[in-house]
Amino acid sequence: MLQRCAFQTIASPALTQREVEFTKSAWLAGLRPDQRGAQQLREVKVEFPLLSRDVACVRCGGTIVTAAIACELVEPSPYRPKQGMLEFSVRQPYTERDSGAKSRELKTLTAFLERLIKTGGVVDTESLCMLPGRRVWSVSVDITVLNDEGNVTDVVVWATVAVLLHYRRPELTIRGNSVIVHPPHEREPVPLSVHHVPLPFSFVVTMDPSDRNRLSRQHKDNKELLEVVVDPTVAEATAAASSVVVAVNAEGQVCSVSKSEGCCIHLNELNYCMETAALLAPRVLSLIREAMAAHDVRRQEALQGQFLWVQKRSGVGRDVAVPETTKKARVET
Amino acid sequence: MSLPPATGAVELSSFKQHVIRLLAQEKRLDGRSFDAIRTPHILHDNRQVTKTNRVLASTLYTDDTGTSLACTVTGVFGPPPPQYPEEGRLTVDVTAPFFPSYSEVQIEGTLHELARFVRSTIISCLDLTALCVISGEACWVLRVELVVMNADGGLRAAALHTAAAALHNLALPKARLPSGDVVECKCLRFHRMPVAATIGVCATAGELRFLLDTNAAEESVADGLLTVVVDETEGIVALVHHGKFPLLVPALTDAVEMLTSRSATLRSAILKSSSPAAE
Repeated sequence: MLQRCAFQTIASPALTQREVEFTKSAWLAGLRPDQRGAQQLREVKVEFPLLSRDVACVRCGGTIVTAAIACELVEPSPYRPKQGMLEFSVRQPYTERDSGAKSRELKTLTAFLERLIKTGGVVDTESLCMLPGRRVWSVSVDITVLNDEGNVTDVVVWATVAVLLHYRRPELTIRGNSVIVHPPHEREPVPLSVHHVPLPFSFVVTMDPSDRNRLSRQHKDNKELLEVVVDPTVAEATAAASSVVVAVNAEGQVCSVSKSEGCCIHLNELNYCMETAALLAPRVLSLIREAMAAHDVRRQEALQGQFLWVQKRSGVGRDVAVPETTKKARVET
Repeated sequence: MSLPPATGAVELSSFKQHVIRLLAQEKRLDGRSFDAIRTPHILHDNRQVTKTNRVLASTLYTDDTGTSLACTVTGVFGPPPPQYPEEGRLTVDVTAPFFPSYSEVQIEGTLHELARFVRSTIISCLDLTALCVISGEACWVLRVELVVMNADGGLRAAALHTAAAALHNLALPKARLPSGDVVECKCLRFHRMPVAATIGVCATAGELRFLLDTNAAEESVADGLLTVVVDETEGIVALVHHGKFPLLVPALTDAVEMLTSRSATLRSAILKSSSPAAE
């Protein structure tokens, strides 16, 4: 019986069945179909493609997700007059292979994002309040899944975390009841108040524990069966018996654990998932920090380039280079 | 993931302060100890009259503090899902008609997530191929309707227990397909019986305390909430932990083991109630 860990259906049932059988054979041999280790992520790239700070693009192998953030001064909810608003939306362009359940899966992903970042207290919503009851910041994050080759849940949250860490909102000056929003060239924008950074990692359990015991009795090789693998692709998610999503922060604390479908797991497997996630989280966070620093350097270079161009255009500091004919004409007059 | 507690005429913030003071003195609102479970009582409606309306099972869940859920299982024939042609279909709907309307949007989101949780957990424990009649053409479509009449915390656990008690030993009746074929009786059976509890985490003066089977007031003041579902072999069927308080790995292990040591009592309460009553 195929499990429901995969988000999308591969092209045809025969190819799906063939991929599932190949993946299970590879797991029995202690390998993965793309020759990664059990605790190895695919190649992760974090970049900020525009010069502005509000778009982040994260790639994990073939999965590409972009996150765009925007904020606006709005009137708060009457029940929570001192808290700002934080909204998420996840979109994905449709292809002809997608089933009708795609919108439901995207809603599930949006709900997961809200539970992890909004309910988990990642962004301090009280710091988004400017005038209680009248003016608060409403931050909206739009996530677009450009390509899906498995493990969309993790990459979506990584992109959201990167854009929340890097974004700067405009500075405000409040005098009495008037609010002055300063543009970026007047005052430096202010970063959002981020308390902790949860980074989720998806794990799949390869087969049922009872099946594993039976197969280990049949195959008395020295090779160990793969039990839990991280960062599953579409084929691995389809072939797996169960899936676990563990979110940890940079200090190794578990912010969120979600295990919903498939076979049972035991405490040692759960501990293995949490320890592996604690090992991988600082690496992904350092990738995000490096991308932020590289983007700051690129912004500085672009700003200096623009300034040099303005200097050249307006002729500042060009007194010694005045042409002789102009000087001669001025002397004659 | 909680519905707001019903505080009556007391202000919600005053009620929370009262609960926090009680928890600091290691007391709970209903006098239980920190690791006590409210025993569920599940009633079955076995009257023959209701089965003529395609109602296959009907259960009522109550516990000592007044949580009340009603579950109705109806079954019809339908086509199987195209991705899984050898399986039946199971849908879960949760409604809560008796809650105040000012937080309607929040309640809708909570109930949708609750239905998703109950469905995915039941699918983990129930083989849906038992609902298949003709592969690729006809299957049973079971619809589980849960009505939340009163909620006092632990809503995921209560909803899961209600649905599991209704579906365990469910007798699919002898029926006739539109093509004229006769489908024989079949008894639905769980290959593992899930029991669930909500565990609250209180960080008082730097010390972690776990509250087993929280009620609504404790859920509104707890720092973190954990919903654990285990089976007979102490395997974890489902685990949901979303909260403001990050947990270390040993704390999470202790919370899971706290439920595992008391799961036999819960399972016997559910299974005892679900045996057919002689009338």
